[in-house]
Formats: sequence, structure tokens, C-alpha cells
Amino acid sequence: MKAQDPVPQDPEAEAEYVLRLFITGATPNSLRAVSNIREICDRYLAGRYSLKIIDVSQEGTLVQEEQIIALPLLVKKSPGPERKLIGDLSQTEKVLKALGLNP
Amino acid sequence: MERRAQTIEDLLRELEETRQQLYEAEETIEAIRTGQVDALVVHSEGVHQLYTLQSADHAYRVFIEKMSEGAITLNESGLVLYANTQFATMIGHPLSGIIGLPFRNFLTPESHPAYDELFSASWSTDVKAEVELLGTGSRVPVQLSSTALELIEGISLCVIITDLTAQKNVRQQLEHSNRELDQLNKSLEASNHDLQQFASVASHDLQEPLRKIQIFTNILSNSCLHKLNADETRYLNKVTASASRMKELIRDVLNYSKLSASEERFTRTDLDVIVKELLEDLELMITERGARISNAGLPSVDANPGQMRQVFQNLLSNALKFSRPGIAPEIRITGRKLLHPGFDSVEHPEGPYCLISIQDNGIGFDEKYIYKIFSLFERLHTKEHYEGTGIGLAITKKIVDKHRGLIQVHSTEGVGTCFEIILPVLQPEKKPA
Amino acid sequence: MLPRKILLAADDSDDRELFRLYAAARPVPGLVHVAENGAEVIELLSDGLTGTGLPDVIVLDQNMPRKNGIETLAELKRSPAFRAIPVFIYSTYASEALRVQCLQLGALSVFQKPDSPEAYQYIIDGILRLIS
Repeated sequence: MKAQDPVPQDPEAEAEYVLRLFITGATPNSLRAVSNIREICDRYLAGRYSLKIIDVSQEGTLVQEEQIIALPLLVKKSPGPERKLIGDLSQTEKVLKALGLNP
Repeated sequence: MERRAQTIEDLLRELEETRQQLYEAEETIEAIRTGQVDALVVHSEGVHQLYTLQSADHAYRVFIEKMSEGAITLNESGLVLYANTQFATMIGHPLSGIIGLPFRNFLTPESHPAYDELFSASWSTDVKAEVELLGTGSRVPVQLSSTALELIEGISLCVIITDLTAQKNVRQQLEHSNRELDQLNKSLEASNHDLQQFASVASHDLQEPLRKIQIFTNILSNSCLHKLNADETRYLNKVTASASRMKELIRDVLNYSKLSASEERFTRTDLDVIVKELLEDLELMITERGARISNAGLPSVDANPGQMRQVFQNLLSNALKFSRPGIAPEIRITGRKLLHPGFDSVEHPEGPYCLISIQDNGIGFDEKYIYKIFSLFERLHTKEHYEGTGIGLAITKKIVDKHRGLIQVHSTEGVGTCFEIILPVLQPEKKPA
Repeated sequence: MLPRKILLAADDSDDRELFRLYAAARPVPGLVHVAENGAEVIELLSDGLTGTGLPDVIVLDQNMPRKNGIETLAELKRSPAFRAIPVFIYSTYASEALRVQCLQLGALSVFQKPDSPEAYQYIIDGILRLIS
């Protein structure tokens, strides 16, 4: 459990896919990334994922914990090895690949 | 030696990891190159610094974050793509529990129809609606104000959320104080009524015993004045003088209260004629004091002639009364037309307002007493030296008020006093009841 | 000349006394009959002033209990027997409204209560002169 997380029950503990999306406020790329990852998750991972969207311009402290180099950044915490993808997540096949979902 | 302990699998995994890192790095560069990256994070000496790539909108982002309204962006299916911190504060959820969820989830069920209507209409026009947010433990009344924004990647909805709690509280408070004011007005009316009742009683019932005092002292002094010594005569004279002063007071109170009750009936009144008649009435006092009075001419106005007469009577007799010992009173009356109802107004021969000023060279008074001078029973000068009931100026002010006019006074001790009155030349037609 | 018969209605005993005093002091004296209110005026008149006949003039105080000056005036002017008698009304405060109302009802004049011996004499003189 992270100190910043005010939700008592951590949905991440139960989900198969644990994802984090780091964005920087209402920039076009961030908005696109949010929209895209929602769509992909609903389509390919419905009911099997937990997605936490973190706006680093609002929650600056979270940045410390992750190795972030550029934003927006998608991090797959599990399953398997941690994977990162930078960008607006508009290329679905690349996102699927990062999630380990590609054939 | 450790290396040797590694298995082929370990090596393959390491290779895969390196390849993956390379892939991610290539992807990052590709993302930056194609403009998909908003910010870079630089780690140096344990500090993380955020460098935004689109600094042009940075100011707006700060603005959105700092403003006291909530701000959200919704996509075409109503999911929250972005929310500012203020919105999170309004509903008491962390931002991570807002973004990506349908905005509808944060509204009370009662608000859903209004929101749905706003949401469907917003794509073609700007829409406002009042709804309630589900805050933590309380409902927050808000106004939504939405605008569709067409971006390269598609259309989204920008919604500004204004907290109406304070506004509603203010409205309630306003209603409350309005009610209180109403109550106050009613009791004021009641006490005004009481006051008039009192004045009426005073005028009739107090006058009666007073009249008796006057008559019987009169009879007494007629029949036995020759039998009284000097002191006794003086005492009797004091009784007579006090009685006539009391009569004056009662008369003035009655006049004042009648003013409150009277309806205004205005007719075209030539103020010049009124002043001329008054000067004839005051002739004795004027010659007695060797006063010089000049009248530069006054206009005709819509007014109550009797009341206007009273105004000039009060002001002129004051000017005569409060003269400096040994200095003949000099009184100057002037009239001018003004464009606006204000003492700083521009003069204009056809102006709809007239300014009347009455300037004397009398004893004057300290201007710090100005606020007192128009109040009932206020006397600035001891009555030993200057007679009067202290009601005259209160009556004057009331009459000017009734004529929708203004009155002000300037004075310098030992130099003189100047009263200025502004009256509308025309009064509005009285509507038949 | 015969003394004039004056019927005065006033609820104030001082007023009645002063009126009698100054009326009696006139060259042609006024004989003052008194009533304490308007109702009593009507009673006295109906009795023919207990045998001495109708008065030459009636003076009514406006403010009296039971029947005030105006009410009494109206009643007198309605009565065929009494309507010819001249009526004066007086009041502590003779407002314009009162004046108009009384004159309309047929009063000869309205005056304010005197506040000096001279005023009393002046008014009684006036009344007596007006009816002679």
C-alpha cells in the first residue's frame, strides 16, 4: 500500500493487469492517452485490469517512485516484467505489445 | 565467478531485457519525434524536474489548476479525461479516482436527467445547467457550463463547474435579512404612526392646559400687576414667556408631524413672489436689525406654496436671528438652474433643477455640527441668546425631501452661513388614486 | 337692549366660567346657559331652556364627550325647530378641514379657543355683533 493512496481497499491487489498512466494535466497528448488506454482496456482487458491515472502536475510526489523520463507514460506493473510505453497510446498494436497481449 | 554461475536461461533473459530496454528507448525517441510527448522528467541529485514541451499552454494549465472553479474535460462517451484539483476537492475524491470514470457517476441520481440533457446538447452549443455533485457526505450544488472543443484528435467537452453553495447561502441570507428588514419596516411604520398619534394628542391635549395657564396668568397679571414687587413681576413674566415658548414648541411639533402625514400636492409656485411676501412680513425684524437683503431672482417651480413659504421663512428668520452682535445682517438670495440634481452640477439656463442659495454674514457654526443641524430639537446656540424651537430646520429638510430636493449648508464660525437647496423644476404628475 | 341668550356647550368648566365672565362684562351682556356636551344641548333646547325660550346663539366646543360639536351642529341643522339658531364652533386647534366641514354644515363661523382675556373679549364681541 502506498501512503498516497486514500482508497482503503487496493483494487490493484486483485487485478490481473495492473497499469499506471502518468500524464501532465489537460494537454492534448495526455487527454488522448487517457482516452486511448480506456478504450484498449475495455476492449481487451475488460474485468481483468486496474488502471490508475496519475497527473504528475497535480500529484508531484508520485513521480519520485517511478523511473519516468517522459510523459505521457504507461507502466505495466504486472503480470510479468514491468514494461513502459511513452506517447499518446494511439498505436494500439504497440500498446498491446507493451501489455504483452500481441500474438 | 558469478557470471559463470549463470545459466543460459539467465543470459537469454538478460538479453531479452536489454532488447526490451532498447525497444522502449527507441519508442521513446519515436514518441518525442512524433510529438506525442508532453513533458520530460530529468533526475538530478535526487530531484525530479518536469520540463513541459508545450510551454505555450503552461500558463493556461496553471490557471486551470489554480482557479476556484472545477474544470473537467469529457470525451464523447462522457468519461473524465482530465480534472483539475479543485474539482477533486469539491467531491472529496483523489484525482486518481476520477480520471477515466464517467462524470455521471459523480452526480446525484436526481441530477442525471439535467446532466444527460446538457451532455447531448453541448456538442452543438454552449450549455449551462444546475446539478448536484455527490460530495463526501454532502451534496454540492453546482452550475455546469460546457463548451465543445474540437481538437485534431476529435471532439471533447470542456466543463467548468461552479460551486453554488456560497451563492445559495448568500441568497438564503439575503432572503433572511429581507424578511428582517420587512419586519423592521413594519415596526418603524408602527412607531411612526405612534409618533403621529402622540403629536396629535400633544397638539390637542397639551394645548388645552397650556391655554389655561396663559389665560389665568394673563388675568392675574392684569388684576394684580400693580400689587407685585419687581421680583414677583419678573417671575410672572417668566411664566408668561415659558407658556408662549411651549405653545410655539407644540405648534412646531404639530406642523412637523402634519408634514409626515400630508400628501404632496404641487402647483406652479413663483418663489420670487413668496420671498417678496415674506420680506414684507419680516419687515419689522428687518428694520429693527438694519438688515440688507438682496434677491437676485428666483424661478417658478412645482411646489407646495405653503411649505415653500415655511422653508424661506425658516431660513430667512434664521439668517436674521443668528446675526453677529453689532454687525448688520446681510443676506443674499440667489437662484440658478442646473442640469443635474447635484451641488456640483453644471449650470444651464434651461436646466431641470434649480439651486437656491441663501447666504448670510451671521455668527455661523462649526461645520462639525452639520450632521446635527437638520435633526429635530437640535439647537447649536443657547436659547438664552437666540430664540427658536430647534424644529425649524428639521421641518425645512422634511419639506425639501418631500419635494424630492436636496439641502446642504456651509458655515464658518464668525463669518456666515450659506444654505443651498436644489429643487426639481417639474414634479411628476400625480397619478389619480 | 335686552341681554342676549347664549347657549354654550363645553366639557371644560374653566371654559364655561371664563365665557360667562367675559360675556357678562359686555355693554350688552350675554346671558350664558351652559351644557357639558352635545347631547345635553339637544335636551336643553327640547325643554325650551327650562322655560326661558330658545337661545339667540349656540356656541359649541368641537371636542366633547357623547356628542361632539360637528355631530351636534348636524343634528341642529336637521331639526326644523332649531335650524334657524346661529351656531359657532370652536376648538383648541381649528384646522382648515374642520373649518370647511363646519361651514358646509351651516355653522356661522369657526374659531380657535382664546388664549388671553383680550381674545375672549374680542370673540364674544364678535359673536354678539354677528347676531344682533
